[in-house]
Amino acid sequence: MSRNANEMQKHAGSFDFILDTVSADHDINQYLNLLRLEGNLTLVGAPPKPLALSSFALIFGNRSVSGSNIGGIPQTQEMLDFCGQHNITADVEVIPIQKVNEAWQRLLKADVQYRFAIDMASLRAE
Amino acid sequence: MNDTTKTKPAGGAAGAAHTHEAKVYAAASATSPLAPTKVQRRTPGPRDVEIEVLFCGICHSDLHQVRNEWQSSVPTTYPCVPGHEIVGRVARAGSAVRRFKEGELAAVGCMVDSCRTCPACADGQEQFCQGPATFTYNSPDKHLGGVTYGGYSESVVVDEDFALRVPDRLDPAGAAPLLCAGITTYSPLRHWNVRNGQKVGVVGLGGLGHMAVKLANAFGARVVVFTTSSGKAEDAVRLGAHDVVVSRDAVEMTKQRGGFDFILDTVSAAHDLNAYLDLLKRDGTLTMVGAPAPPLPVSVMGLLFGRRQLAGSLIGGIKETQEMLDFCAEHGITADVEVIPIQKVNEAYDRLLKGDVKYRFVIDMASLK
Repeated sequence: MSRNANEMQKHAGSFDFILDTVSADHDINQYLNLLRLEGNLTLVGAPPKPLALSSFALIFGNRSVSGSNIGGIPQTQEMLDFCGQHNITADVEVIPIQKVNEAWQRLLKADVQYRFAIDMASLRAE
Repeated sequence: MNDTTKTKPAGGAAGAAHTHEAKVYAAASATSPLAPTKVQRRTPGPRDVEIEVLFCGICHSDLHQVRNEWQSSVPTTYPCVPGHEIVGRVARAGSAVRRFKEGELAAVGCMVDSCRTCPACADGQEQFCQGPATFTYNSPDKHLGGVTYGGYSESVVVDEDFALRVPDRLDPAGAAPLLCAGITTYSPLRHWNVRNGQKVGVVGLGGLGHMAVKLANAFGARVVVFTTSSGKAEDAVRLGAHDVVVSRDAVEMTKQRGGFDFILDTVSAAHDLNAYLDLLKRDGTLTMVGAPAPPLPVSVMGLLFGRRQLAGSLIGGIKETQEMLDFCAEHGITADVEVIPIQKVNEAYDRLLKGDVKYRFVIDMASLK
């Protein structure tokens, strides 16, 4: 639990890589301190406001923070093939398109495990 | 390696160790000027070298620690003898010393010991020793108890593993700042593989920045200096910059967007990092070696769009410090220094605070005698 400082402290300096998917404002310095020497934290969520970053958390440990934005077409194909090979798909709740506005409401409340997917057959049935 | 721990019992063992007096300049408190006094140095053990200090550079962290400005992270113990840019001559070498002979040039940087066994030490990154590392001054002294005393001194005693060889080709005064300002900039430039054909930015043109310009230039990069004062432009070019951008000029800054492979940020005052992140190419890296105290606002969009990276870097390990000294000798690189007698050290601190030095003060330790 990231709210538990003791639990966080137990993992200090132990991670090679952290992928940060949070798009709300949050404290990244507590995660930087979990990285080992030369570890990297990559942000893929985009908090609208600038994050407060401690230069000490980067310097004492030669750590780095990166951003990453989707991926290119060849890599997207590679990812699909990888997922095929390893039988990886998202956990989805399939909905008819008529429920899309309701789904958006639930999305805002994070009431979905873990992705809504629209069954497009419902569009033809209209 | 472990036999180093057997030579003396740890901590508070002053009575057991043989010592001798050394003349130093020390601060008695956070508000006292530096003044001449004497401290005890250990008599060199079998693995130690005693170095007669010829020159010692003045690093801004000397001033920070003398004035206890890092109280929250590294409180200062007094008397404080600063100085971690030390070049001297080996006066005595212990019986087991293999790498140094009496009369040879030798140097000491920011560290004088580490645990030798933790992953960081095994990796040659003693600055991150979990022990932690014993820093050259204001750090617990394993041999004598108390704290270590730095290079504003007629002599220092150090385990030979933490002494560096100084190639004869290097001017000893100009070489002194390489031990901190040099390695602090060399290490990230090397780690991020700055090379021929790249465009590299250096933010700030002080002690660290001027070394970064010289080194990045020697690595074959096209170097652009970012400075707040247009008065430094001519000097930046003399040091090896291909271009100079006054960072207060928004139009000039916009023109530089997306062009940089790597930017080394040497500024330790609070400043806008986002303006520099935007200048990076895709997959470019900005590395900070200055450490602004307040947290800096970082725009995540600046990182995401361009898959850019923001990193930090702290000095460098012993092996890399030696590599840096050898590289500097090969390429004829030393710091631009103003040599002063130690009696002017307090005046030099005042000028340092005003940025009134090109680009590093170095104390001629002959003045102490």
